[in-house]
Amino acid sequence: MKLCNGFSLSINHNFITQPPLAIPFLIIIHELLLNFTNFVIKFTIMIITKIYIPQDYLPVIIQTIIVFGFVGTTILITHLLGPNRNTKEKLENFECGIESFGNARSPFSVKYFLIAILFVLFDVQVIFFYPWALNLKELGNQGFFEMLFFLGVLIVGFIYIVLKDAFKWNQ
Amino acid sequence: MNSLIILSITGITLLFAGLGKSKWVLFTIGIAGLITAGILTLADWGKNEALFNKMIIIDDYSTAFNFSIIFTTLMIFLISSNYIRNANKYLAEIYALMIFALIGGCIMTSFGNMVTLFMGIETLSIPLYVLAGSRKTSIASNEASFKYFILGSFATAFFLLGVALIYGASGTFNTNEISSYILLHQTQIPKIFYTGIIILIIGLCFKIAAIPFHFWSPDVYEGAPTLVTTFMATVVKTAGFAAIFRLLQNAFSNLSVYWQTILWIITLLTLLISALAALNQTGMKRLMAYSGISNSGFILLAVLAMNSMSPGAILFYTFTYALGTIIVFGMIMLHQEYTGSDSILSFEGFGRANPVSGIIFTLALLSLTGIPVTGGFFAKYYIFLTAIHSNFIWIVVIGVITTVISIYYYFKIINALWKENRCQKKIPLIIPFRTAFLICSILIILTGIFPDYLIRLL
Repeated sequence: MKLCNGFSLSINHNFITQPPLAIPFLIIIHELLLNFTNFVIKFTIMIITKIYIPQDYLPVIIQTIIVFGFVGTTILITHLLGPNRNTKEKLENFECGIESFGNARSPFSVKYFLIAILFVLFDVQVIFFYPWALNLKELGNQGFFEMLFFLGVLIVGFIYIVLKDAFKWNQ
Repeated sequence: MNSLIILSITGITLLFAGLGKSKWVLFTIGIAGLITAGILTLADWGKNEALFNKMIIIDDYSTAFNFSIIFTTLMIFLISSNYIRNANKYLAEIYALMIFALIGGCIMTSFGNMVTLFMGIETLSIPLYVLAGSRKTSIASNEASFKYFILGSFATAFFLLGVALIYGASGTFNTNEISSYILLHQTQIPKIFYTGIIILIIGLCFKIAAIPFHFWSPDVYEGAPTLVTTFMATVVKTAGFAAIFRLLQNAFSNLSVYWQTILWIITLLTLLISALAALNQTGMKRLMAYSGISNSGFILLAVLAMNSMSPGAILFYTFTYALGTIIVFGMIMLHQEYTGSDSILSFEGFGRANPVSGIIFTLALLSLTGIPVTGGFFAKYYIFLTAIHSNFIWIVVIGVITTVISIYYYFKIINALWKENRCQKKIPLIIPFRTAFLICSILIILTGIFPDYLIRLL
């Protein structure tokens, strides 16, 4: 609480007592904003009139270079400047402070995946139903029977799954 | 079209029949369904109709290729009978997935729209990913399945990107409309359209295992169960070539100058590298994989030529190649079952122990090499003739040279077959096997003596 107040106060204080420092910043921000609005207007005109020249993509390239450059330099600088002291405890996997043991790569049964896959199948089928239900009246008899046929194929698949004992987990 | 319905019903019936005990029931249902579908396909001959808003077009081209792949699948079903003896637990699923993949192949030969083509490719590929891993306990089989799945979906993504780019430029998926778009906008076709064609060709070349997109093929052929490998080497290849030729002819034949350069390089690489890579192989299945790639190169010659003779040449070549491949893989399957090995060395003395099988095996290998009196000779002859008609002389020269190289590795097997070796035992042939081998070898000789009947169809 105290820290927060002090922080905000100090900024106000600086702004009041030292105007020469704050004003150039404001000017820069103002110009940036102006430039930005200018850019936005140009961009919208460009999109509306659909005239592109290669130079219009320059900001994109600069942005890309800045993004990758920032990532690269930060990684590089932290590696160069930071101290590098490796101890055995430091390199170990950290798990809530408990000492780790054994190998994490042990096989375990994933019977649930079958149910998950079958669920996805029937879930997708439900998605087909929404547009069909909305247009049911316009589609008429033909649309109705097409959907019945589709359902019939699905039901055949469902019967096959049941007969194949895909839902019996304990086997 | 009726054949597609029959095939779908057969597939679903097979799934349910698999819940019963008897394995021979599955076999009978599969054979009956395939024969019915084949007859219905033949009944479509001479028809020219467009279905589902021109998404599927049935003409003589699609009918001929459909019959070819249905016939091939029938032969594969016949030689699958030793799976029945071994009482494979998932036989019904294997059969059903094969039939579903076949449906995908039938769609691929008769598309009129790139969306349908995509659907066909996926319907063909997804069952194959599962089939490649159908020997669940074998690590090689699992690896093959995984590799095929990852690389296959990557290629599919490429294909889709190509379709999207072409749609973005032309505003249509329909192949004939794309063709008229090219004619109307000859000078102002945007660059993304050309990019789209390249990416489309990359996606399709993956499916037919053309170099440099072939890296999956030897590993998958070796790891997958031999029955599935047979299916991949015959049906998938035939359907793939039917699709790639139909697409390039219907949609992009007006831009042939542009894509022929790309395809020329792919063909050259495919012919040369596969022939050289096959020389050092010791495993039969791996050798056959490289032989398959090499044959892809020959068929690409006819696609490259793109003239009125091409469809006939492609049909003839894929058909005779499928006949030879079925026999070779059938023999490998039998041999593997008794000796557990597929290296060329283990075939030493096979012919002396089983004279009839040996003669049929030799006949198939001669047909694959392209020695006269067998169908393979005229297949290669017509391919070269087609390419020369379109003035592709130099690549034909390369093709002839690779044929000569291929004699070495095919004759290496024949040499091993007829060597003296007392360790080989006689392998009995059961009736379905005999039927398949008999039909295939008779057809190999018939296509070699009367090639005109088949070549004049298209």
